[in-house]
Amino acid sequence: MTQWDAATLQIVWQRLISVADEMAAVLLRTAFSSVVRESNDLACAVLTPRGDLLVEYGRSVPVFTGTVAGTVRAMVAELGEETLRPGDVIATNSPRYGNTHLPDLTAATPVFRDGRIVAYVASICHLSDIGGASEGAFAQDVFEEGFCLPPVKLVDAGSPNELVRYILANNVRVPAQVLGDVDALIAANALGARRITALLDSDPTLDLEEAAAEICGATERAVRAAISEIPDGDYPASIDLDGFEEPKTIVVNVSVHGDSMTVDYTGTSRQSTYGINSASPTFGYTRYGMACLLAPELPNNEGALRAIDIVVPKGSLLNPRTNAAVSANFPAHAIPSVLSRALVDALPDRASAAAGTPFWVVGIRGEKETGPFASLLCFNGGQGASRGQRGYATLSTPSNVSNTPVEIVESQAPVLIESKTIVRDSGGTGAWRGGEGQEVVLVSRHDAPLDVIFLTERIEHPAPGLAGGGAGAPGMLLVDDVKVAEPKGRISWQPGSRILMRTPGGGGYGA
Amino acid sequence: MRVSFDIGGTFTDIVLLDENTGRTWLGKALTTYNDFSQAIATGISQVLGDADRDTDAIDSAVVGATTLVTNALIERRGATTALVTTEGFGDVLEIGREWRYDLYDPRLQLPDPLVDPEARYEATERLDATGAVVTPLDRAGVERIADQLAAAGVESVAVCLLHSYVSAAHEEEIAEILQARLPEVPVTLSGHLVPVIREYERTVTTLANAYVRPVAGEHFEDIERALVQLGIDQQLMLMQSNGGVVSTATARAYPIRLLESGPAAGAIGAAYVGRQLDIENLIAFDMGGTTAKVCIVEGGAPTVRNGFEVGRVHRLKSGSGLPVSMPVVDMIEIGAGGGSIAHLDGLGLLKVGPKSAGSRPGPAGYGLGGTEPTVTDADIVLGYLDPAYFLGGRMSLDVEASRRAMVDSLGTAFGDDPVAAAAGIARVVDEHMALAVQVHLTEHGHDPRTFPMVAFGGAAPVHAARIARILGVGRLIIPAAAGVLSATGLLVAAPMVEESRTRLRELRDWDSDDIEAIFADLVAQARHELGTDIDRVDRFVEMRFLGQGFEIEVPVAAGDGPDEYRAKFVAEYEHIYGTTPDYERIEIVTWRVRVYGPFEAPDLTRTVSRDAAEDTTRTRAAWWPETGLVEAPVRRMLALPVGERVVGPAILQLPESTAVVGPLDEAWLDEFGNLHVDIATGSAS
Repeated sequence: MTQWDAATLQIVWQRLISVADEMAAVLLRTAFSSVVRESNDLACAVLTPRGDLLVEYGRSVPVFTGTVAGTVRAMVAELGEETLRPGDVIATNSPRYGNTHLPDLTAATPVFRDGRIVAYVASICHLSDIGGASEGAFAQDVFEEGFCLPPVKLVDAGSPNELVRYILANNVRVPAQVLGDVDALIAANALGARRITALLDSDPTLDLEEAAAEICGATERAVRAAISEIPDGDYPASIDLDGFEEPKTIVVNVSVHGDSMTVDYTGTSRQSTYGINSASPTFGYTRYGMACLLAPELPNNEGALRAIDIVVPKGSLLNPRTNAAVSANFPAHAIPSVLSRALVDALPDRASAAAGTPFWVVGIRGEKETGPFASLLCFNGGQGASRGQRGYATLSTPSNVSNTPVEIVESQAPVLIESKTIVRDSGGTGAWRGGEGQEVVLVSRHDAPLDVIFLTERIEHPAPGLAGGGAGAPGMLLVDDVKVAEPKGRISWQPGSRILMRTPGGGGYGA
Repeated sequence: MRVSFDIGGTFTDIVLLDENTGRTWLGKALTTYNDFSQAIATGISQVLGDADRDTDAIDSAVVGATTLVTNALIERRGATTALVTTEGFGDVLEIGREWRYDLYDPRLQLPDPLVDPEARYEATERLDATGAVVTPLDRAGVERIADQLAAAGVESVAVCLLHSYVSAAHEEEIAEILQARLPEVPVTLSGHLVPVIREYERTVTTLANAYVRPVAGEHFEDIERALVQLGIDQQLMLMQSNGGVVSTATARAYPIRLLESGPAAGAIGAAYVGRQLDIENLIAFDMGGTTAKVCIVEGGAPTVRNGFEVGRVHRLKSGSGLPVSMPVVDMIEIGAGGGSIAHLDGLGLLKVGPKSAGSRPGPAGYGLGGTEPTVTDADIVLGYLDPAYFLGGRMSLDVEASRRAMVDSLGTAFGDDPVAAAAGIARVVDEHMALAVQVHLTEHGHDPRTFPMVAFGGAAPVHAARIARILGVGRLIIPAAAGVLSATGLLVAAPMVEESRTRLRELRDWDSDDIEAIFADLVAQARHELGTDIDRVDRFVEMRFLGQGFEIEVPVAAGDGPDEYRAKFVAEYEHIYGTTPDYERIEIVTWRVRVYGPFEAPDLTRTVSRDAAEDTTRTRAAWWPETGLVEAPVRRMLALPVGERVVGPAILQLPESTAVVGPLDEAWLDEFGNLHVDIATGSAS
């Protein structure tokens, strides 16, 4: 029995966080997916035997911060806890089990002690490819989007499940890299399991469920204290997006009652035919947006959401029906902005204007003499301004993906980047200006057409300002000086052809 | 005799060595910020006086470490600098890598770029990733840039073009044109300074070098002048961040390689202590007033990594500083030192640091007006520090003030018991350090239980025995010169330069001539920068499985072929990640040499200390988790008879620090004056 004083709780919590951080270091260093290693599109976590989130790697991208626990619980429920054995790794990429979208694979490893599961460690990584449309938004259901792996044992009592690997490898464009990514997840989880075991060896009295009660309880109390500071009442807001074929609007009402709140998305546009729907990312971004507004210094865990009830109407953009296309779940990235809009009067020093989000993606696939390749390039827009601070240019918000260096891009794909510049004055006006977007010009140097997908936003609907600030400049996407008709679509990129893109500026703050 | 100096933020440390006898004399002078050479002159005069010798006795190179280059960069006191980039990429510097080092702070601050947009110039030219020319250099355009630089009064220029790690031809052409027009202005080329892939990091590194170059040059000249005035007619050598020393000629061209010279010298000093004791692998642990630093010594030398950050907005948040792609002794920094303040956070957790009370007002126990409880206050309350003999008796401590600070700030969580609160602080700090050491070692594939620890710096000897116990480290060594180990390290560091270059090559395309040519180029550049004969060349390559983004460095030998490269890489991969990969294709990314000049490390015997005469046997009440409050013997460490075993709990006082020996630990002094503590590992709590 541990004596939970202020020092012990701090020490145990720090040790657990360090487990998740070490797992992430292994995943980052051994993954093959460029979006993982250059853009940090991953998450690592330690969970309780019930699947409650205990700690998470601090730089996990926000979209995963609300999804990992749900996915692990759904997998365990599907497979049955009694079927799990030491040395197992279970995994799924299916949105039906709470996973974000098909390109992300969630892998969990039960940690056994004296024949009993005492914890789970879990990792998520964006795979190099998942067949089908992969990241593309143009698919119309999850089946068209790519290969779907329902919850399975990726490793069975220490032995790799060769059948699963065989089937997976035959359903993706770059099988060697995808299996390398899978190995990276397994290695990260193996390290996490070893660390948890060592932690319990050094302190056999430590009960992780008891630790979870302390950690989550402390977090819950801090969140409730922060909510109590906000006057009771309704705080409505909305934000407009380009959508796909038709504009979309996210509507929210935050109602505060005492030390709890309800975040209700009733009124949000109906779900799209295409892959811009957001299923589980809605929860991740709501939690993340609220954490920034309420208690930014709190590490994420199960306690963070206990005081917050999230209502999302079924069939809406933020809660689509089963098997809806969800690959480009980008509207969820606007959630922190709409929450800021709702609570700006109550929390004027915490709210920020909308960013030129989400980051834009150009996926390039083709065949070189050395084999097939798939490069996913990310380009960020401007940060939204806040009271007292201008937004930075080209800073990933609310997600957190780095760019891929020009020299790396050109070493790996047959393209030449002609320029990469800040679009001056593209930030929204205001007492504090929004951050600027960037202009990038890419030329294909390949001798054959390349398969290119685009994920963009805010070409028609710029990032709005806050508290009287102006909107940022909208984005722009041209191929050979002609506006791209479907900027969330797919093109056959011809040799010598030129793509020009301008990511959107962030909104300004204050008149 | 040899002499060394380490210019630190507060003190300039001096060590004088008589190579014939191995005797050393230690000196300290307050760092003189208006003219750093003054403190060096004062300190050298002092140690020469102590040794009863004059300046003629100094008959080999003077070796120094300096914090000035870092300060100039952090405080933005560099030259008026311009950056020349490839056309279309002048904003690379400002765009950065586009990620946020703190996910939850919408008000996070990024470091300002070293130069404003108007000081960035774009040259029309382009190479592709193979080094082939896509657009030839527009020489007339560069001539116009030269005119603009002259008109703007630019004092230093950085040139960083895309893909210059493959070919520096265009950069060299630009340098030629600029030098013809502006012969007084130094030009730093990225393809020479740091020919490695990733344009943002390379641009920042090149620019930072250009920015500090004129200031650093003047600094080195000041020191040389001061030495001449003292009557010391010897060459000045300087410590680089990677632990090798170089001549001022090379340091003047590449001052950015000196950013971490002081801490690197400390690691070299710790490695030397290990070598004296036939210990090849050890943990070097340095804890001062605001932070602690940990470094692994492997095979007798500190491990080196490539790249670190300088001028962080948040000292402990990686990503909040300017990336510098230069070799540096691989140190982790932990935001807890003697002055770190403890507080209860919003969740009621006991947090220690990163805020520090500094030296003014300092810990509450200094009696200088500080009221917040620090690590030093905890050490006072727990009875570890002697109120009457702090800093060798130069300062007395106010125990009541320390106790009061515990109760006032932390009493609610610890039942208003100052000892419980102090014990809480010590636990949090020690566990935090132990965790950081554990993570750092396991990331490198090591088990800390097999590594002895060398502890130095003011606060490390107080905490090291407990940290060792938590880690399962069985052997702790506290060197006699624990307070000036960096200056000692300077005396025993070999001349060495390191050169790296990115050249992507797959192992299956192995071509011996190509590979020998790459290494020959690196060695040629190293020879030029070393300025002496070559004693030894060590080869390294960074490899990865094709498609991965992170590389692992392995040492390779001149006769190795692709099979040896593969075997060494795979073995290291398994060692670090604990998995056995079966991927086929392996890529070499970076090629590296470390080239050593001839050097014979002197033997240092027992350090001369004014303190080693008396021994007063007395006791003091102190607290350990295993014992609670007990009367423990208090001894002066350097007065112990060699080999006598002191069983803990015990407190051994040094002039600059205090060694705390835990219950059942056994401490003894060796003939060099090092204190050994055999840790009672079986009883870790």
